[in-house]
Amino acid sequence: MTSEEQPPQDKKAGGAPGDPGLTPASNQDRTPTDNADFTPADTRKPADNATPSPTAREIPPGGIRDGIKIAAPVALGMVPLGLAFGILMTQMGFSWYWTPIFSLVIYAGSMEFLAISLVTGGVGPISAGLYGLLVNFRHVFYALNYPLSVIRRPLAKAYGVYALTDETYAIVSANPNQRFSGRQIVALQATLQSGWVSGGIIGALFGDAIPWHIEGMEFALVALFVVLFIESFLSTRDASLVVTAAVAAAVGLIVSADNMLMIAMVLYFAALLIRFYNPGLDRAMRWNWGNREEREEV
Amino acid sequence: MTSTILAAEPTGSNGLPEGVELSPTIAILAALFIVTIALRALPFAALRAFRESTLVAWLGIGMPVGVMTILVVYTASDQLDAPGGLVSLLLAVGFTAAWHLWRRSATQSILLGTIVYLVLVNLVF
Repeated sequence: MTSEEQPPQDKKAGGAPGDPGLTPASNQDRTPTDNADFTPADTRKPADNATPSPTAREIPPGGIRDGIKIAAPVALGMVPLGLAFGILMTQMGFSWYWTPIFSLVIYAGSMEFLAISLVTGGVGPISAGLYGLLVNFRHVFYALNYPLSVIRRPLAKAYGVYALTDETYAIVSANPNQRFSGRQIVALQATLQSGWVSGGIIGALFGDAIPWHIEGMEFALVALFVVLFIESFLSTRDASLVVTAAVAAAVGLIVSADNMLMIAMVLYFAALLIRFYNPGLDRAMRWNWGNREEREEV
Repeated sequence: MTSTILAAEPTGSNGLPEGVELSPTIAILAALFIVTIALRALPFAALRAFRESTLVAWLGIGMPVGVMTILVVYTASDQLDAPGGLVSLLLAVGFTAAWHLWRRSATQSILLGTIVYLVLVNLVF
């Protein structure tokens, strides 16, 4: 819903001429509370625009469509995962509407699957919170590369943080040269979430009636991360980082496949810290791959 | 998938499984909501304090490629049980990577890579 609200407001802030939303008449149509909400934001906008690097901020007018376009194939890949979640929910005895409730309250795929057993197993809220802390701990690293400052509206900022999933982080952080506008990021996140939530609802409602289960659709997520791996590698070109992360991932799989993500990311993070505080080690490990010039732009 | 073998559990009150009460369910969901949001939101506040730090700059450079490597391994390891196992995975990943290096279009690479994998898993193996 945030994505639907977002475009007109942003356009308004950008001052798109001829936008019907800009006319005073339509402003008066709004309820007083709405107006109270809008005025401060609107007066703040010019100052915002005056901050440095105006060209970088002013990007694409068609930003929302781009955001949706980038996210669409990934959202499609999330549908079958959502289906599996919805089917499992119904199997466990939940009415269909609990599936979207779970997916909106806790928007984190692996956590939602775990939440099913937490709820049916009847654990207390404190131990549920501890499980959540362990499973989702990796998300603390995602703030590093999420450009929260390009999102202007407070509500959109809140949505952006709420919907900061693995997939979002991957898309946003992969290529540091690619700048996203706030609208684009929010549109991208809303597209991903609608893929996940609609998959869940369909699975919960019609799970057992769906005769065709296409095996392997989940590969879309693998493909996404492969693509974004290439992009992020080409921007750093330090193969030692890849080797370090692969070792961390292998250790995670061996120690505990269920907690692989958390173990691997903490190990990798620790390795980065060690390199930072040991410049000699960092120099020794650095393994630049290829020449920066050879990169092809199509 | 394994769950389809089991008979569905009966639904009790409030649309919840039999024997599951509403208030503990809400308490669990609320706890998970708070934890998930806090893990995503608090680091932004922490980062604000270290905006100029070279450590944060280094982590910002180093984290994405490592996180992506780990996520590739994680999502791929989930697919090992599919027909063709490691072979279809490696073929499809190789195709996706090659196509992406050639065309550099994320949408194309993801869609075509997935189609290749679907063909391998459903028709070839």
